[in-house]
Amino acid sequence: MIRLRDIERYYRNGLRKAWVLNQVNLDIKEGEFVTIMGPSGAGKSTLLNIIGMLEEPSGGSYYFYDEAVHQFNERKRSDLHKAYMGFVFQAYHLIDDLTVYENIETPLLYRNVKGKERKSMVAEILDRFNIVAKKDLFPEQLSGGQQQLVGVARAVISRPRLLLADEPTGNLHTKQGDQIMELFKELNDEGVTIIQVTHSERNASFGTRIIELIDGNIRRDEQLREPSNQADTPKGVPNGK
Amino acid sequence: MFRHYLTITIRNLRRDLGYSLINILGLGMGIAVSLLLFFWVRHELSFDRFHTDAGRIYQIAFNFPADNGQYDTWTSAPAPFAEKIGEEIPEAEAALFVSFPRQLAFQKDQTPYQEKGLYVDKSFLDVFAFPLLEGRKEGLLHQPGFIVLSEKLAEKHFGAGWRGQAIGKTLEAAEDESYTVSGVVANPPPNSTLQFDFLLSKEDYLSKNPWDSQWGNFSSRLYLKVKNGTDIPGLEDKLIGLFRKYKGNEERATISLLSFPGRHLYSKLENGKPVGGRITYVRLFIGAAAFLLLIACINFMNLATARATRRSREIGVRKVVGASRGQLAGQFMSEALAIALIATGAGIALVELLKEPFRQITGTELSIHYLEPGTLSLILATGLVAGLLSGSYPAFLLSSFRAVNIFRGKEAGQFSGASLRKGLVVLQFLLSACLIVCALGVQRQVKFIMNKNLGLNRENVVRVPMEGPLYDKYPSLKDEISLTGRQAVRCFQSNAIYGQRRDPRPGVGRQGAG
Ligand SMILES: Nc1ncnc2c1ncn2[C@@H]1O[C@H](COP(=O)(O)OP(=O)(O)O)[C@@H](O)[C@H]1O
Ligand SMILES: [Mg+2]
Repeated sequence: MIRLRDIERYYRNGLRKAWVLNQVNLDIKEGEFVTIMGPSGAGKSTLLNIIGMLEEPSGGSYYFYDEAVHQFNERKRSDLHKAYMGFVFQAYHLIDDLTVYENIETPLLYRNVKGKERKSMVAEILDRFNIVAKKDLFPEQLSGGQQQLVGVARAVISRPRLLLADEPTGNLHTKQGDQIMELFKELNDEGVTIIQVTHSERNASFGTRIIELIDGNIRRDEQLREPSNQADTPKGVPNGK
Repeated sequence: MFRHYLTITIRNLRRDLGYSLINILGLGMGIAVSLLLFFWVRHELSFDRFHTDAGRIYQIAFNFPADNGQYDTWTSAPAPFAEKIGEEIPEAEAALFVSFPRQLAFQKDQTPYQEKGLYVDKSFLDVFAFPLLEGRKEGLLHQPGFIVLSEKLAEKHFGAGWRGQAIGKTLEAAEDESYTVSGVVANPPPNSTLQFDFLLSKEDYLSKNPWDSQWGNFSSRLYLKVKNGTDIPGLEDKLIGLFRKYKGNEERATISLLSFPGRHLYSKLENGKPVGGRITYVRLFIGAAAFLLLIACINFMNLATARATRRSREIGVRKVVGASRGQLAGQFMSEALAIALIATGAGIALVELLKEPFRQITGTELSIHYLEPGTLSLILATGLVAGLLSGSYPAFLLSSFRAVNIFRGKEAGQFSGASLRKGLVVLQFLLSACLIVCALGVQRQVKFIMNKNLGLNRENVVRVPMEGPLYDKYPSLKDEISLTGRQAVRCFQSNAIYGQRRDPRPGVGRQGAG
């Protein structure tokens, strides 16, 4: 699904380049549940953003379903992002002015899903995540754990093939964190590929593979177990949209 | 999607209510003032355009050589000229005698009252589109002694139920004259140069003012309706030829045909050519309206940008969940448009509030019908321009930032558009200062005109035209006034201010000593 070759990312600091990612090579197959670990400032978020096409690498090649993303323009990249990916943030990043229901609905609006279908999709997710009672509340009326549940619901409502999560449990208690991880495992069992960044070994144990990043280099790449739901035949990138 | 935009717009407005009110009222104020100015401009531009084929109606002006090598232009003409043009110039579809406005005293139940009206040619209502409410179009003014009333005068004289009552009735006027009502026309609209409450026939005029039948007396106005495709300079030459044929010895005089609907805006003439007039104010007001709207929009844009800055996280989130740049731009744009729409509503309310003071200042009655297509499109266009202008910056600049940078707080500095906003404030300040300087300039100009010493004492001077019964009782009136203190009473054969001859009656001037 994902193939990174010699990916680098640096920032110019006067005449010198400050490297954040250095010659990263990485392959991720469909159905994997990958955990990226490493000290703060190692480049984990940067790597996740590059995979999520929110950020461009300074050099190297990135193939997504064999498409050369590094050659795409911004528009095509954001189309791919929209078609295949969901994002979960440490800080939840819900829209304050929208209710739980509306927050979850938003990705569907941008994908031109019709009203009736939209309604049933949101209802289904609310039900599955056990937050039906909360649907008319605003984010500030929810606890952190509940907000992150909404965040995950919003990320998966558009049925992404790839879920990217940057320290999704960083602001949560262990119990709330476990709930999110259970959910991730469930989604992964259903075939969603997941890449998460975390500092917690406990969270990592839910995944199938651990990658340790130090100073922009991959230091460890350990397979915990076989992905339960080995990739069905990879679907190619559809033309156009 | 639209509902989503609307929801978020309303919730945003509600969240900072005070801020939203300032924002909306500020823009509403700008919209209101520029709408008022635009309405005034439209009123001015519409002057005399309501006549059918207004573009084919001209006023005859004579240019006589002056001492300084220039020409003096008279917009009056001798009365008999109209008839001769009608007879001898085929290009003229109609040639009309129209007197200058005249006062006439009528009497109702022994109480005299004054009205202003015109003496006109029979074909007056064929050329000028004042709708006839009652009476037969043919023969309206075909006889001396016939009078056509405005709706207003008909109602004044015959009461509210004048319909079916006025035609054929007699109107008593001063000096034992009486007129028979042959028709009632709608009141001339405020955007008509020709204002009157009654129309009398040219024949009546000439029998009262027989000297005006001479070719040497330029006593009245003369209008032409020319045929389609007439060569105007050629016609001017033909007309002066005709004039010379009857008048003789005016070798160097020329004639200019002045567009009738153009007269209102271009009243200033040089050597027979219109060179300006109210059009200056029209341009000034268009500029001022655009200026004010611009300032209001900049202000709105500034506040909108500041608000959008606070919503940067929302923009980032929307990008991540799949919003394209265009969709984000659309969101901000529709938000600005929605707010501009509300502001336009507030603007209309303000227009209604300001209409009366505006009328008092400018003396112009603005007839504003909001549902009329022209007005509606003017209002919508103003709102749209305000919305587009003020929404464009947040829409297109803010939507271009990258989500990751927003989350990392990297673009926060740029994002607030701090330097641009500073620039906008400076621009806004400069524009406002400009406007204040202009207003002060105009104010001093007006003050100068009001206070300029013209060499005469305008205080305590009253002019009383000697109309109706006053004329006969002049000696006793004069004595009566003299008894009340130290005054001077003068009587003039003609209007002492305009120097133009009126009916040969004396006027009374009264000067008090303090
Ligand atoms: N715009 C930037 N300019 C300069 N340095 C940056 C910028 N963005 C991120 N960095 C640096 O890149 C490094 C990696 O950041 P990040 O990927 O967020 O690390 P992690 O998520 O592993 O903690 C950090 O040292 C950070 O300071
Ligand atoms: Mg990070």
